[in-house]
Amino acid sequence: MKFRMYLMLPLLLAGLTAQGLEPLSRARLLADRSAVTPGGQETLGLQLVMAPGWHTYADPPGDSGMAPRINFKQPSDLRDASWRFPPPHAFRDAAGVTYGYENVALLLIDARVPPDAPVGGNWTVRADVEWLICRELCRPMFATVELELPVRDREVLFPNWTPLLRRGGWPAARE
Amino acid sequence: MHKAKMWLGIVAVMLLGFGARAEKQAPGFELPDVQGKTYKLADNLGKIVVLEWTNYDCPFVKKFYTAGAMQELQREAVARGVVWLSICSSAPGKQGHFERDEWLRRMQSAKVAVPVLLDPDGKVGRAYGAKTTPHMFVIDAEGRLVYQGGIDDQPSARAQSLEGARNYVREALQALWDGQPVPLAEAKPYGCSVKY
Repeated sequence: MKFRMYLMLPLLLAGLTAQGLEPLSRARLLADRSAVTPGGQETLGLQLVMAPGWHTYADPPGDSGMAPRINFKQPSDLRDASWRFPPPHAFRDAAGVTYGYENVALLLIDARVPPDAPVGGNWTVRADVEWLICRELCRPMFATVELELPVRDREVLFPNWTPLLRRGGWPAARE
Repeated sequence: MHKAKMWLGIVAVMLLGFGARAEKQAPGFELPDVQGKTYKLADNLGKIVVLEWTNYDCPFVKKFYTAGAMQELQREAVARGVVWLSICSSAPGKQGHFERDEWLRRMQSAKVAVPVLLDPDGKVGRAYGAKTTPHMFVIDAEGRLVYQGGIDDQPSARAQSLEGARNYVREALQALWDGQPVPLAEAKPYGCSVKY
């Protein structure tokens, strides 16, 4: 038993390096507001960051690959809303052409805070995300992303939104 | 602008012309399996044939094999007289290309009972226009391609996506067994690119 544990140790460490310490890709949820109002309109962004050399996919992804799958757990009314993808780049390999993003991609979706959301509380968005990254080989990535925004009687813009848009593949974003 | 549109149209038509199209005669081939035994498509005229482009190290292929879903569909099909041929077009040195012993070891450990044909120069893969793993082709008893595309409607590497998925291959086979037209002749394949 003890012997077995020793055998497993390098595997555990390898797992940590692959998943926790040096992720090949990360996902996080962002918004164009730091504080929202009841009934307020927001733009949410799913930011996918890839390690150098890896790319993820647009929708549609082209000859192979897989578009990101985003399943909202909360609020459920976002489930049927459609995401806007930044203009993709073309990637070519021996099997054909695919479309997607290197470094950073920011996917956007419009959302509305419920009109009866209590001021002083929080508005929470949570989603399960699956996305594919490929270099020569492909790795599926999975994450649960969450964003909690305070509900106030006056909204507060998120000051870094425009640079985030630009980094995320929306070059025409205005200040 | 109009010129650009016209060119786009021409290119689109040319692209459509490449690769195999549904309801057309399936391209003939002759390939060895991992043991060196030769398989000829023409020898199977009169039988339904399923071609499954595979790469055992592709996460989308693993989704089906780890859960046993691919083997189950293979067994189901073979039990009803279908000839199921997996084809690997991975070039030497690329992902999914193995030597004989490694193939046998992997096929045994995954309990795979269908032959895996080797197409390392990618000739047959290109003749069929195989883009992804998995990429599925169903050929009827008259040698016509009646289905080509993804295996199901769930472009995901998650095992849970198997549950409730619409499996286009099972659907096409069922239609052929029932003497019905195949409901969907083509669907977009998803997964890793074929490692030509």
